[in-house]
Amino acid sequence: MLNDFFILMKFELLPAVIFFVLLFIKVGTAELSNASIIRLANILLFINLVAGFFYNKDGGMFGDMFHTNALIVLQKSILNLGIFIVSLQAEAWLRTHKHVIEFYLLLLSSLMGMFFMISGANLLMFYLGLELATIPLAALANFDLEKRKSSEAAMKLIMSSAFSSGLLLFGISLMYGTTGTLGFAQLPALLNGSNLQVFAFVLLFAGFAFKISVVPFHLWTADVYEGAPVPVTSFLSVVSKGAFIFVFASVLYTVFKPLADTWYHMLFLLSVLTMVIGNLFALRQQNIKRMLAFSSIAQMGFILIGISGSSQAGTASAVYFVLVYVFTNLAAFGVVALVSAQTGKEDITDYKGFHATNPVLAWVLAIALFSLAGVPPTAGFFGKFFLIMAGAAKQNYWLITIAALNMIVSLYYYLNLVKALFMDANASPVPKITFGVYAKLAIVICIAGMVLSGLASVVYEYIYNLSTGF
Amino acid sequence: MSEIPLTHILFVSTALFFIGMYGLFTRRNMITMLMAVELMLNSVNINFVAFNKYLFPENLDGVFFTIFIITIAAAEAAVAIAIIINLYRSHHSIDVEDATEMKW
Amino acid sequence: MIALFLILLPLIGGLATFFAKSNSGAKNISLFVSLLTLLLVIAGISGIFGSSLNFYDSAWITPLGARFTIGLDGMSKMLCLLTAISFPVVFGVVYNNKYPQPASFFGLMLLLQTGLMGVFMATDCLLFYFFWELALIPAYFLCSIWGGDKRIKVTFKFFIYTFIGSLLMLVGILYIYFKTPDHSFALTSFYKIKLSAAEENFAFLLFFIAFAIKMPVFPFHTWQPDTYEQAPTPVTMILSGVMVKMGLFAVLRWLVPVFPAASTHFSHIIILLSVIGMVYASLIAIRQDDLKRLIAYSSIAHIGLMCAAIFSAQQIGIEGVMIQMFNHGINVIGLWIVAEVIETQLGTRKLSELGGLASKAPALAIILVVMALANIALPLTNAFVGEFMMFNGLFRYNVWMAAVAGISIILAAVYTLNMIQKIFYGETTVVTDGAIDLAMGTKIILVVLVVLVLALGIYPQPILQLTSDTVAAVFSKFHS
Repeated sequence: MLNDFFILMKFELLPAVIFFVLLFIKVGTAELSNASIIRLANILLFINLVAGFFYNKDGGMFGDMFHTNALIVLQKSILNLGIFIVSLQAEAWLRTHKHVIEFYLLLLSSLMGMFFMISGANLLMFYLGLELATIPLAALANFDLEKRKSSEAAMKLIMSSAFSSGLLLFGISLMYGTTGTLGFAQLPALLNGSNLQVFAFVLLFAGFAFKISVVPFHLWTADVYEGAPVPVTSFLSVVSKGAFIFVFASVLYTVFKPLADTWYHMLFLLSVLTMVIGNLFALRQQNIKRMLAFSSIAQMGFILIGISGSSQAGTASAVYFVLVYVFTNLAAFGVVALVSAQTGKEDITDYKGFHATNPVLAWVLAIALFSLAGVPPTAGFFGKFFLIMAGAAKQNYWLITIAALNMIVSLYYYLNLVKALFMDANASPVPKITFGVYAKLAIVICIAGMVLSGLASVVYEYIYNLSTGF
Repeated sequence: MSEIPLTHILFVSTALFFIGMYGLFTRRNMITMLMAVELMLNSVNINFVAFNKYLFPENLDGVFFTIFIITIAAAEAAVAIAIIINLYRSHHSIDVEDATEMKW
Repeated sequence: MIALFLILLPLIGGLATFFAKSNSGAKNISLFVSLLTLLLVIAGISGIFGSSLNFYDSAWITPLGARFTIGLDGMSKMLCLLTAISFPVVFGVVYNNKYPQPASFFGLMLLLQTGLMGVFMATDCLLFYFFWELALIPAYFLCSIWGGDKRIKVTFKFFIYTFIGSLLMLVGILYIYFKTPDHSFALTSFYKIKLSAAEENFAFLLFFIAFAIKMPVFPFHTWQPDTYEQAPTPVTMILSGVMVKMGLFAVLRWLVPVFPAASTHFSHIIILLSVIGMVYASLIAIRQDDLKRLIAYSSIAHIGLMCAAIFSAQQIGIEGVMIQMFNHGINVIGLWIVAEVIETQLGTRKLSELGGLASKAPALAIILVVMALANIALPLTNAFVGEFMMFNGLFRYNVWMAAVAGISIILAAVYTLNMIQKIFYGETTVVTDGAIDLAMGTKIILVVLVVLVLALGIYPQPILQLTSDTVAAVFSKFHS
């Protein structure tokens, strides 16, 4: 029984243990240098990642408030991988930072929250996990304490996340009022599609839409991405988004299955809006982080297409896309983080002639951009392709055509950046960036992931077979 | 003594929710905005307690949920106020109109 | 297994070349790999190891029913051979040129070959799409990093253009996929679909636009002359010699047999467009002063004829297309080599600045004359057979179309002979005064090409036999 507890909750317990180890170091008397703290934290996070692959079991706990299965284990492992890469990439920025341990503490508590949220089988557990995941993020966004933009970003993040949890909670309370239960297992049978329930569902949906920045709830995204320190931005855009997408997909398919007709139309409309507006705004951005922010909004639109499809293919393609997105977006943000940490340059025009001084980083960024654009042979193509295939199962060819048109628009601005990297001349290009072993490791992981997770079809097959649970 | 019907309570909570939302959108002072958000959360609390008492008195799901919301709202407020203080240090103002370094 | 190695060899070679340390290392690796690929193709065609090796099939994305299926049938053999010949030829010609970052240049070239080989062999539609795009990326980087002054704008246009086409095709592929009885991307399943006329026309257009942009057919050709002009010449050779064949190949493999009714339905308008394109491109070619642009426009005219011949739905026309696909590749690469030699030696490709080269470089002059005559399809050259058969097919389809298309032959003679005259005869100019004749290596390569031109002109049977199965298959689909 106790054994079960440790195995089922392994993913939540490990970050907690690491959290306390780091906390004791913080309150202890020993003065560790930044370098050794970072080394220790990375080793611990690596152990955390590896340990996730062993001794897993399906099951539930706490009177069915908490459940786990093979798919959830996979999702958590993807997030573990994401946070490991983020931590590797953060090294360049943290090296000289005063509050290294706090960064990891906040990161880990957010991660723990995501795990509880993913494993939650009850709206209460889910809500607690969600708040545990978001509140530390706001603090993280303010981590460059002396920068004006950073605090502005944090303020925008906390206000909008508070507002969105208000919406979400109001939805949950109405859902409770109409059904009298909070358990995911009991809810579907009690959903009858009454007006009040649909209203409650719309509120819940809006709360989610805020978190994964779906248009028209996306307004905070670009500002927060731009203002927050780059490693935090990459954490926000990949790990946090990924976690919410996992939950979103599974909640829609398991809990709100009876309202499928309602949410299919909502998803359809929102995905089109999200893709179009995300791409159009990305076109006019000058700051590379803002551009990536809007492009990530557009990517969310694609994920919604996948989710709108049938449950197995929808879940599988969304999970697969997040996996690919971890590699791709972290590769892009990794390069941006290095440049930003060493030169402070974040404008697209600063990247002109980047290839001349930093050929390796330029190629990494180029591959990542092509992957984001969904051009073969990168994994991004397969990610988008599977999403579109899942969405197309409903024979909605308008949706596919709109998606294809949006891919062209997005290609335009990605290609513009590639053009700046490789072809444009620049009198004062970004100087040669030196990067240490952490950043190198992160880049190797990302590149390998972008190439292999696409070509090795076993990855998708594995996810697809796990997704049968719904 | 006749009991207050559920609809009355729901009316109050819904009104509170939208007053909160209105306040969040119209107020320009960050502390006031934070209070508006608290208003929204409290309306949810009223909802939960009312539903629990009137419709599902056999178990206490709703009341528990309320307790958790109160706790988390406090945590949220703590972080938000910390951020606002930090913002004040750099901007010397807690008016959202002054924190507009990034747009579109 | 041979089929698989035809893809793996350039891929691995290309990746290895990226890490080559020195200029000559990169060149040697890529030349060696491309020659090895050529040997492998010849082995595959001759079937000395058994023809079962020419096919490879393995599981790929099982949940979607996509398989990694590649194989060499007649048309694939012919086009793979063309690809495999082109690359060593190109590498040989540029062997002495200096490129900045040679490792990346030659690595990308080999990756381009991987994509092309894959396109020509794939018999699974998703795999086909995958390679189709794979060929585009290296071409994009090759043109935009090593190209001419206006390369950035031009390649941007090229990439966006072809990508739009590809995405339309992707929509079409998905559309057909959901109509296949067994939800599969296999070519055989695609051949089995049953569509209403409206559905078929819709899907046909989605595919056709992608292929038309690639070929290119008038009015989708606007990217082409600019790209050919601005791309580094070795890349232009591959683009015009091999890559445009992707479009024609795709029409013959994925368009006409899958949508026979729609192909007949649209044949009038497509042939009309092709013929307009032929005459239009020829007229523009006459006015060109830039050697590369001239060859580019003449290429549009030739491709137009091939496209028209396919949709004429006559067996003889399709046979002619098969022959001409190979021969056009050889001829146009020969012409580009001459252009490359002139440009690297004299630093210009403006016809008005050239002149009198015949006395300075007689060997070059002879070879260019042979290539140019092949370009206007004089009897005894390889192009004659193909063009004759294609015109024959077009003539059977519609006399007037054939007559208008025939004008382009005359125009071709005008601009080609004009080009020869301007480059080789007349007074030598300041530019051509110091010209010297061909280097030994280039001479050997060009002589090989000339031998091919003449040999296939006299005896075109091998290609006809090689592709007879594909022709029969396409032809039977047209009239089923």
